[in-house]
Amino acid sequence: MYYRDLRDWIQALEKEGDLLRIKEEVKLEPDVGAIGRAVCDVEGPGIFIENPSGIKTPLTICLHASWRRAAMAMGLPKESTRSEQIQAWIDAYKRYPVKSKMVNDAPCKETVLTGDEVNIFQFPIPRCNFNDASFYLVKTVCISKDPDTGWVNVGMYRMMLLNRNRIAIMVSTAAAHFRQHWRKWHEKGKKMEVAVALGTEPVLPMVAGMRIPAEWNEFDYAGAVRNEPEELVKAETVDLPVPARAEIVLEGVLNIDTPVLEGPFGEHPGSYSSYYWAPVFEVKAITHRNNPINDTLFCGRPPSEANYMTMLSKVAGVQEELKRMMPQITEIAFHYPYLYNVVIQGKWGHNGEPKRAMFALWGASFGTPMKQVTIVDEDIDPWDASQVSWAVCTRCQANEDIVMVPGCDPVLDPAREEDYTNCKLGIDATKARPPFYRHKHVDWIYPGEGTEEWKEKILKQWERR
Amino acid sequence: MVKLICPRCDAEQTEKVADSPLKGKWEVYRCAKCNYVWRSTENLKGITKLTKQMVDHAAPVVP
Repeated sequence: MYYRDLRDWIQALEKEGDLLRIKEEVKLEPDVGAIGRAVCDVEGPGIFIENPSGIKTPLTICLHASWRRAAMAMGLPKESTRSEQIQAWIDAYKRYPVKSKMVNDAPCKETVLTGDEVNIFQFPIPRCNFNDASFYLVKTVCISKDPDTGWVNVGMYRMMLLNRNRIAIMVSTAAAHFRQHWRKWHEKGKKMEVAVALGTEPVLPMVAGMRIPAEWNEFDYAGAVRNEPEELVKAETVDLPVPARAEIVLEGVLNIDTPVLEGPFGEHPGSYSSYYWAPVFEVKAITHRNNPINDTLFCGRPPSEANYMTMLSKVAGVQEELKRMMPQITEIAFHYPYLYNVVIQGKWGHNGEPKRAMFALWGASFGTPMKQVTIVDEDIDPWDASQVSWAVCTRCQANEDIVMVPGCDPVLDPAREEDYTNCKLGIDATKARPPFYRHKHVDWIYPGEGTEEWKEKILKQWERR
Repeated sequence: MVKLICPRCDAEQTEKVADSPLKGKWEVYRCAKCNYVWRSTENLKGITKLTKQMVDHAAPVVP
């Protein structure tokens, strides 16, 4: 099961009763942000705003904002558990690549606008959080190419509107493949070509928001997730492939000559970002479908749509990469507020291995934003916050088992230092192993024989009461 | 004509950058000094003001 484009996806959600159409006039501020917050608070339906104030183009928000819709987006049953969804992402690694196909039928080019016709404000683009510096494009499928090898990268970056054809792009980590491409273009003295697709089939933004290995093509990985090739077409004015059935495509170049003040923006840790001097995406052309729909994402205090959309794919990515480095790792989990709080469960053979796992995580391509990591044993369910907390309290001594690594890339850490670094924190909450037995070889007190039977009996009799 | 002042940094260098596609619903303004962008229909009372210190500490995003 896969969806060919955004319209196909909207139709499926509607059929499932998981889409709400709002027909009344909706103000872009503050209503759209308020709607996003409300939906995420109650894991409510995807929202189709038919009548955004002052604009003909409708707007969708929160289409990915629940675990059931995250599952559906991948073509899984909506009841799929988080573990099943993670497994589906991992299985797609094994199927990679499912090569994209170039097609002639490209609805994304039904209208082509260049020169003075380019005006990003013709689309509904809201300010979702009060102190955001501008109206932001957030669910962006941002495409760039390595000028030497032709490797195509697809990423998701926040984009701040400046005027009708200029947009500041914020790429938060130097490790981003987009920035690797940009570095090469810059060294050649050329402006990098960029295309941004808005309103695509639902897997693409999920993949754009994760990190797959360098040199991999996200379009081909999305194809592996869908079990169906992505349909692409060459962009109108730049030498880049774009999703043929996207609602809207922006094309242009990245200009670093005059960086602009960007931010703040209500980011996924649940706080406003800092200010940055960011490059400008000069939009040379806009192509769109007839009667386009803009699809946006609600980002803010967790849980937000950003978490639902990218968390499980990120867990899968980290798990894949780390298990290759350390096969003794059994499972990885993210805890609130997700990307900053990671738990690694493993079958550790030696005392030094838990600490090695910490550094493996921070060194992994995915690991840059992962600020705090707790290492647990196999008998601790890494997704269960109570069990993890128990392990920290009973298998960890702060003077021996805490690792702090200052001077790291902070990505979006709101508590970063003034020199834009942060300090990683590792907690070894594992039992000590021979031959260096220490105090901390604590085991759970397991329930005594017959507990389950008694539980059942008591509940049954209690119901009768 | 009343000169619009940036709600974030109080600069007077502001410009109109867009009108609503459906006439008369809103306009969009931008501050040429700090890049703050806002719609005429927004209530921006209570917005966090931009200080020189915030600008001085802005990090460059470089290739």
